[in-house]
Amino acid sequence: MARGGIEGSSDQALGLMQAGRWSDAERVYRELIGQMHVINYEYDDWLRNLVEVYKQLGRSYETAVVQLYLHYFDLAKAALRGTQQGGVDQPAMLARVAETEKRWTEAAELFAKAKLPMHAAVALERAELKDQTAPAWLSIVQAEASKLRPYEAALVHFNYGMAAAKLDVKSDEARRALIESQRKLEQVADDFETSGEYERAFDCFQILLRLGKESGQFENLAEGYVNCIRVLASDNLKFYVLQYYEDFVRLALERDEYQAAATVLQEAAAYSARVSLPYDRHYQTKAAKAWLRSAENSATVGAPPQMIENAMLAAASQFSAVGDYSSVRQVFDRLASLELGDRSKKRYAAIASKFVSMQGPALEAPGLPDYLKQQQAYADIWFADLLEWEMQGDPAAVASSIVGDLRYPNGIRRRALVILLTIAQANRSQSRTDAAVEIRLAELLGELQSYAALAPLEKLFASTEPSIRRAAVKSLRYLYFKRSFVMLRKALADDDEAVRSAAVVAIGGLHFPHAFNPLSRLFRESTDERVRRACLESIGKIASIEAAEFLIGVLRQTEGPLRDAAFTALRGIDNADALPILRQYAEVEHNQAVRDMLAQLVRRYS
Amino acid sequence: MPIPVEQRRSPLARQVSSMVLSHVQTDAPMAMVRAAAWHNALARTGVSLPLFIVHDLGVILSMSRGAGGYELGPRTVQLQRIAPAPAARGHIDGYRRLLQNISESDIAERLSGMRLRDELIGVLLARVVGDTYNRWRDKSRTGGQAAMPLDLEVFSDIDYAGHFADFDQRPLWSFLEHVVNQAMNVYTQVELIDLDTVRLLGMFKDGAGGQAAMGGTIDLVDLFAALGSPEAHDVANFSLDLLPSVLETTRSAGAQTFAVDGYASIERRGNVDSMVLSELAYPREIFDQKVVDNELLYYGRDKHREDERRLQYVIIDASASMRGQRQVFARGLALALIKKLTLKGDEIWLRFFDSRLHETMKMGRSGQVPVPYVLSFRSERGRNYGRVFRQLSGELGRLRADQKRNVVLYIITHGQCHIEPEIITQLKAHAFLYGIVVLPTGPLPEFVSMLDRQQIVEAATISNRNARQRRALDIVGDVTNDKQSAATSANVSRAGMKAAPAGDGI
Repeated sequence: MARGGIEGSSDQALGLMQAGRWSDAERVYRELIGQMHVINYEYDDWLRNLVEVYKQLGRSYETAVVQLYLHYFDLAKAALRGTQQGGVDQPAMLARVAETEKRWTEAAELFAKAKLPMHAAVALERAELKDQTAPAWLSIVQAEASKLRPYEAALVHFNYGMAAAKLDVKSDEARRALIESQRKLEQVADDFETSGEYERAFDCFQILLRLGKESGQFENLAEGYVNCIRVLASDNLKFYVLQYYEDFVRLALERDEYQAAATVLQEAAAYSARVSLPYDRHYQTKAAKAWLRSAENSATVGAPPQMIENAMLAAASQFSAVGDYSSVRQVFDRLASLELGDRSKKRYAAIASKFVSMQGPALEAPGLPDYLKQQQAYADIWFADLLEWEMQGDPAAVASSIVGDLRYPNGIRRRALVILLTIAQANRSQSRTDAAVEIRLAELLGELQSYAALAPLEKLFASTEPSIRRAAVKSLRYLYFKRSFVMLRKALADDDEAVRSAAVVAIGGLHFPHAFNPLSRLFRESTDERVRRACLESIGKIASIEAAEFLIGVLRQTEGPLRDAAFTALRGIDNADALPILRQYAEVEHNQAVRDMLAQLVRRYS
Repeated sequence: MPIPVEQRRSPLARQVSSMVLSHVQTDAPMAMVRAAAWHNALARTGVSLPLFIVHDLGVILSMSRGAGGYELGPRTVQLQRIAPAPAARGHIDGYRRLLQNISESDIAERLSGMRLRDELIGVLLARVVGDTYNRWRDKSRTGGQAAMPLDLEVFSDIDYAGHFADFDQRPLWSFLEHVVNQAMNVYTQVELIDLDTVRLLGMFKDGAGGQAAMGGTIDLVDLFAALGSPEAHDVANFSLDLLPSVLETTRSAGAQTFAVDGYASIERRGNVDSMVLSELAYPREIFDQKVVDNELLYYGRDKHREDERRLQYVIIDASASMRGQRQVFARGLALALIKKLTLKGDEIWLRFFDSRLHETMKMGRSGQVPVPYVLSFRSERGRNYGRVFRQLSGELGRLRADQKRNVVLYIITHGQCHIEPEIITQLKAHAFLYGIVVLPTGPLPEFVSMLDRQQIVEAATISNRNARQRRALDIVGDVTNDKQSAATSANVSRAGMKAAPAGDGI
């Protein structure tokens, strides 16, 4: 009895293969590998069969792509070396295979041959070939820097400076390159912030932070961390914020910057309390201890007694705030022994005596647990962004960088494989530039659900053909990144109504936590009621306290469909913390209709 | 009863009713009005306390104990009328002990001698009780009230216990219990008030009129931040270390009437050689009468015009790169520098910068320095020195072209401030450039050697009291010496300055 569904198609493909109907078998297998929820061994079986089909069809490139997915590196390379297909960049694909194998030196040579100098330089970095890395970046600085946008130019200078400094720490050239990079980054970060692209400004601050870390410059370290924290906090990424605070404090203490560390810890405590996380007392205790270390350090180097006194008083303030009065007494006892004059000494001794019978806190305050800290909190963006730039939004290049990379989940690698095979098929049928193919690629890129898909989609969005632009924008609904909003905003201003409608559809899909700021900004700036309603719906699905407060504000300040949309969105929010806020507003609301709506929501939440 | 019947259930009546629990008594009739002012100032910092606590703590911090001042003790008759429950009586006792502790504090005694203004007391109270208030569970139930009236009539002859019965006082008892539980924290916060910062606020006249009393018209938010920041306390200590030496300078001012420089005006007084010649044409009797009546006209003359037009422009890096000791040194030095330049009679502009040039604080010869602003300014952006100094160059160019100002630009920054040499060249066309680089890590930025004068402050200097003070005074002295004044008055002299030792690179 014939089976239906996936099993049926699988049987059909196998049958076609056994019958030697290779082209038909290829078509069915290509449809099959679009299935993302099939278990690995079954999926891989299909791929092995597909390899056989491609061999029979003489399609070496496709054979190599599938073998790269399967990590059959030697077979993939052999297939690529035998490829006759025009238009296929053989060295680039061979480089991808070598890169996936982590054969960095070979990858660097192949990337260079493929005229991808940035990829080559990054591969040399990975190979830790210091002698070759700096010249590779230098040649990019000399040949490419003027063609690059300021951000990428800054990255190239940064990479050259860092590579040159590895060869000679005191190198003037390295210093000049890093200063040039720093100047550009400062300017670009400011420009990004001004235009509301905070996530891109964040990238710049991350590089400054790295510069400070590597070169021992506390000024850049502080600049990078403080601004990264500011951007993360504005996105309400609470645990990242605390992780960055902790990392900054650790590095500041390593550099004997005790005062800066203590004030940062106080800021972390204030932030924790402000966002209702239970770590404020932990950070206050750590701040107190950092102030004591600051006092000890000041005493050791012969600093002014007032500086020691101020640091110890700051420690006492923090201990007092957490109820550790035993430590408060110890601090005042120590203050009484400083060279501060008799009056002060007597005063501090008298204060200490008032705490004699006081105890320390009963329980140690909890700190941020390790499992909430992200291992990927710091990305190598100085490489990643240049690689993206060099790929020029080419979907094949992007997909080939993913297909063999096991850091991506198999689901994403499978989608990348489908993209590569779709492009190969289009190349063979000479329909690569057809609108239908571009539209299909836009859909596949959206389904990739990966940050890497954004650059190719942005390129597709630059098309003069509205149907391609529409497909590109529609695909954004799967891409939960703040950068998605850059294209979205352009799409909302597009001349073509269908593109604008697709943008509204995309807004409806973008309801991830740090979409709150861009969504609320879109709501404020747009005059199109459809857009504003879509924003409210998505904000409602974010379901954070900030989202609830924003929606309450809209409910109170607007009327008609927008008020109804805000009400509906609020009704859907599943967050108990919103109840006190609703109650508070319900008590002070003057407008009877709004008060009724708020009361209804209070009842629902209660 | 002065609170009108229609306001018996108002927030004002609720606040006043809490005075039943007050344990500080004074004969001063204005004490209640001042308490209302403190309450309003506190509310503006987000802390909404019951009036009796504001009154009691505020009086202790602003008046002396004993005759003519305040006494500690309950309003016994009123308390009996409200008949507190036994548990509440325990909290009242705890509250009395807290007040006793605070009133014995040296800080309270010294503050009371400083004649602090109401806003400043309000901010001090926010510092003392703010943390305790913020940890109170029910604080949301106290917010959103209108400001209290500052009218003596309103607060006269009030029957507190009568009003007390009109309200549900559970939140009040809850807060009292919370305060008593946090009593040692409240007491500690009083002991941690930094008198040096308060003193520094008084050393610079603030607001119009230059009253002797401290804390004139000020930004409460800045003040709140300044009083709570340990770094601000370090700045204050540092400035106070420097100021005695700085204050030795005397200032000369006024129009001159002797015969040098060009004519500037027609005056009613002057020397014979400045008399307007046409005066001599009057008949003798009329001339004599004009002499007697002081009605003769004289030419007034220019007084060192380039000196009058000199602008001392201080810009301080406020970026996150200045975190820690760099910030302390930079701001402490800036305050001392400003004081010194003010005493010399120069006009001073002060600005912070990061990726923007922030608001210009213009200090005339009357010496109004926004100390809380300097102590507490916080950057909320990254850096963009290219943008800042290009903008500054444009502004200075206009100042020079339109107003013929001679500008001395002081740049106080760190070692990773990399201004492009071309921008420095542009700036040099408009101003004498004086750079102070604090705690550089690594080699100095390229632009530093292009400045007309520069000072480098190293870590070894900053961590030692005497060295730090000496270094700062060196800089202040160097900034205000005559050589530099001469150099700033004309471009011709600038070459000479460049030949002078360009900083000592300590």
